[in-house]
Amino acid sequence: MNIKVESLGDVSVVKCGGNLDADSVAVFKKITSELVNQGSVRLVVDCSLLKFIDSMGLGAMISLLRRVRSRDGDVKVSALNADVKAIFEITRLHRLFEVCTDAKAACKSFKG
Amino acid sequence: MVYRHFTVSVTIGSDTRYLSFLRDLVKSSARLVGRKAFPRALERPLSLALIEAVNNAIFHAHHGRRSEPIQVMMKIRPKWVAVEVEDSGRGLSRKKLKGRAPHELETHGRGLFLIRQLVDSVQSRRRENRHVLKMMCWKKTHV
Repeated sequence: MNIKVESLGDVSVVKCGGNLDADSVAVFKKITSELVNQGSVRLVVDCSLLKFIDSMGLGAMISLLRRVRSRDGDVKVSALNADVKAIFEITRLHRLFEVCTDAKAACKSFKG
Repeated sequence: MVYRHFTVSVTIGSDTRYLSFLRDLVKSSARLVGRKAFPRALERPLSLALIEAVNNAIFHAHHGRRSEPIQVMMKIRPKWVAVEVEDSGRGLSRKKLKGRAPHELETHGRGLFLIRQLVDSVQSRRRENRHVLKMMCWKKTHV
């Protein structure tokens, strides 16, 4: 998987591409953990280029959410493709995360 | 050519490096046999169910011992498509196999739940001192 991080004001946008699965989850955990350690608590996981996610990828996202919410922050997800969206719905994570249409809308929702 | 019976079997090590290969295997098999034999609607659920089952084999049955072999078999038949994952673990209890969905904030334990949601039938059984998890989708319920 490939991950790019961009800052938009005080929001960090984590743009994930490829597969977030058992093989790549360590990369996601490392990068997001560094962001939180540096004080980022408003995060957007931009899934516009994410093709596949498994339960370990979901677990890493929940772990990030728990960590950030304990610091009064939040994680929002954006631009889920149909397959990833279906997985979020099956596991009911669409009720746990705010799911936005795109990263811009997700960043904006932090301000609202 | 129309494939009414198609079976593919591979043996891999207990390593997550093989996951993308397995997803490609499902995709390639579907392409090879055609959409009538392997409807598009089955590709995503079976592919993800396979990955979850292999994750279980790697992390829970083999505890990360990479040299332990995992055998994956995909069978395409006129009415159904099935995927079997064979490992050297003890297998799954009925309780575990039918267990409830994990709490939303739980970070682990979603693999089996996902498998149950994605496919029509899940069976855990012993075969010659090995454990086999068989996941099956009926074509008529997904088309």
